[in-house]
Amino acid sequence: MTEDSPTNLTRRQYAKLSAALTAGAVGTAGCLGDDDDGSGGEGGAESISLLTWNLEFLEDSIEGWIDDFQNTEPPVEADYSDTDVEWVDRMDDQILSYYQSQLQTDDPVTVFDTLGMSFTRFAEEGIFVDLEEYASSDFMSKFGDESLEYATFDGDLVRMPFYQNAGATYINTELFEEAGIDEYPYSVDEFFDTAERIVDESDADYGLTTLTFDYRIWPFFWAEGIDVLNESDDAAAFNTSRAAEILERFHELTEDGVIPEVTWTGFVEEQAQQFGAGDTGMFIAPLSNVRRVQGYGDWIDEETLELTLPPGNRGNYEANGLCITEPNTSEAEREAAWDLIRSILSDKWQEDFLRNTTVMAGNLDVQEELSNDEEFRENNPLLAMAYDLWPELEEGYVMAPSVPEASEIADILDSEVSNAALGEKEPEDALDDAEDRVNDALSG
Amino acid sequence: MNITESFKHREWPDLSRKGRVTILAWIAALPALTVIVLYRIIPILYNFYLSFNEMSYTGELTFVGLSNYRNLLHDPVFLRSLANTFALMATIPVGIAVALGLAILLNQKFPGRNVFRSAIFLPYIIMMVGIGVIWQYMFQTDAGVINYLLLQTGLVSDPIRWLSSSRWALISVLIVQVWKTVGFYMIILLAGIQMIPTQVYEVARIDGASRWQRFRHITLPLLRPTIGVCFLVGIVTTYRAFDLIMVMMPQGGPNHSAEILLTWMYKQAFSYGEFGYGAVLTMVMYVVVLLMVFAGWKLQRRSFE
Repeated sequence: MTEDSPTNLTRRQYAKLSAALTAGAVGTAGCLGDDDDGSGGEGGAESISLLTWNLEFLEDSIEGWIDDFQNTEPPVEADYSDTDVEWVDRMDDQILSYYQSQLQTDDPVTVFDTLGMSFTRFAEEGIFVDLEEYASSDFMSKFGDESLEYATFDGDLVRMPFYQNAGATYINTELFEEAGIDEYPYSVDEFFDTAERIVDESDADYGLTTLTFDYRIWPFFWAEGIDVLNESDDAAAFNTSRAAEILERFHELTEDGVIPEVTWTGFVEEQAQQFGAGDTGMFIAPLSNVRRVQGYGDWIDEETLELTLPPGNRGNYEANGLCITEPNTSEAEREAAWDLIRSILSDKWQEDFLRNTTVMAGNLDVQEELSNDEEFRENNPLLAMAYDLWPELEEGYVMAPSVPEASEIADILDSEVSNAALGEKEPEDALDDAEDRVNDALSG
Repeated sequence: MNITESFKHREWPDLSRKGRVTILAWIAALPALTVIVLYRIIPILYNFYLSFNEMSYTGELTFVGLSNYRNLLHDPVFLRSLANTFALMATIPVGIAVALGLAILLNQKFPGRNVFRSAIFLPYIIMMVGIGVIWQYMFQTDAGVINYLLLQTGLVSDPIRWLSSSRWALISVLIVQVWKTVGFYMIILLAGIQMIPTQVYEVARIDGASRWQRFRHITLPLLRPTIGVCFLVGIVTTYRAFDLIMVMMPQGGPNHSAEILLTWMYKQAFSYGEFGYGAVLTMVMYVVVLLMVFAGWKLQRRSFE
């Protein structure tokens, strides 16, 4: 499950119990139903609902999306003045249990802001509408091919690219200067060697930290040609001698204090905090962490922080997309939902979204325009740096496996890589166990 | 005329007094029973039924027989999470034992004892998420205050890898769990101790009973019902460790060494969509809880025999 919110709003761990309570209602509420097809109003639907992820801070903008939708502002053409829009925001992985609960109570959310690869499990069961039947070619041309590919499952376009993100390397330039390192690392071995040099030749306590969950550690493996799954996505493909070598290096560097332990025990904040403390040379994490690390380190500005490519420029690509639920929604509701999505992804609101977050937009025209806006660049130098790096990242980034078991596989890999890095298991044993568990998960 | 008066006034002349009281009692209990049936019994029965099925995201069920139960045998994390759940339950008697010592100590008259009582009770009312974040910092291997103190006092020669080794990860959780609950047990036990008539101690003292004998043969037996209450409440409190583990070690600790049934069930059902298998884990959890409740009930009951 992906965790990098567009801002530094939350920790994943803060909300588990209430999510469990929400889900607990599933059992008792499963037999309740509603035969109302939701038709009504000139636009056709009496009401629709929008479920967003970690966007509570965007309340004003979201009200703007809804106002534009109801006031028939372009690109909306139909009259939805009588259509109510209920907006619900859920933090972290509460969103999944909320969506699941709504689905099972026959009162599904109409527009669902899906995060990372979590959409695949629903797409496999045909929960989402194929959006190609609604989308005009003119509208689709606003989005990149990669983001549309990422939004496709089993040949169906099941979500519209809302925002996107990719792994990068955050460099503490002062520590690099102290260590006399002029060039940033590129290959995996260069990353390991550079991390050691920084610790040896500067005041740095640590050379490298990275996020690990949800395939964020995998750039180290992708850079060496090691995929998570085979080409047909039905078996593990990562159990190689090179993978074992990489794990061995993680262990050595952790033992030697070059990689902090928190890399393997933390989730997001811990590693960001470690880098923000100013004593770590490099931090590998998605671009969306710019404001997060800045929040942890007063020293961070455009002079002291550099954003550069992840190992082998094989960063993990991730995106949020907007889906429409098919079961228990009327055609009128789906059409209204599509128009709401068009409003959200309009140039106006995508620009607003970019100005308020640290992610890349699904709507490429808007992103390009903003990245060339001198005033914006001047006021947001770190974001400008992220925008400048994006075209290079686009050339190399890799997508996580598009399988319904993607979240479980990510957790297994995270756990076993950490086991090896912390010396809990021999690298070969960790890979064997990971392979068995991933294959078990894939075979159902 | 209210319902009680109608009973009194023999409007149901065929019923004995006991019969009328019984009906009245059932009517009084009905709201609570309705809630229990709706929100406890039906979900448990539904969960049992679900454990023999696979459930789609739209709620359709497919009967799979014992397949979900068979998965327990192939799940490498299950046995560990079961053992860890028992270990977590074991913090209840440990916490009660520590709390009993503190309660006896803080039952003595000395200046500032109320400050100590409050300080020890305080962790109980702090939310678990906050506790998890604070202890996560305290347990850090290199920069944590716990290792600093242990090293400074010479109790250890190398820092302990509290959260990054499978040997210590669960122990870290157990320490925090005991710390969190001990204040609550202490207050309950303190109240229990103060309920014991002082004359009983005076008579024992006159008869020449030592401190230990007074504790062993007066305090402990008379506190059994109170300890039983602590035990039952402790079972409920143990479930709050879910938040603690999710905050301190969201992946369940190195090699799932701090995973408990509740966290593993949550991940299976809500992270991986395995509702049927999640229901099986929940059934196992019910059995564990029933065993613990039975133990607590027996403990309480013994005191009245």
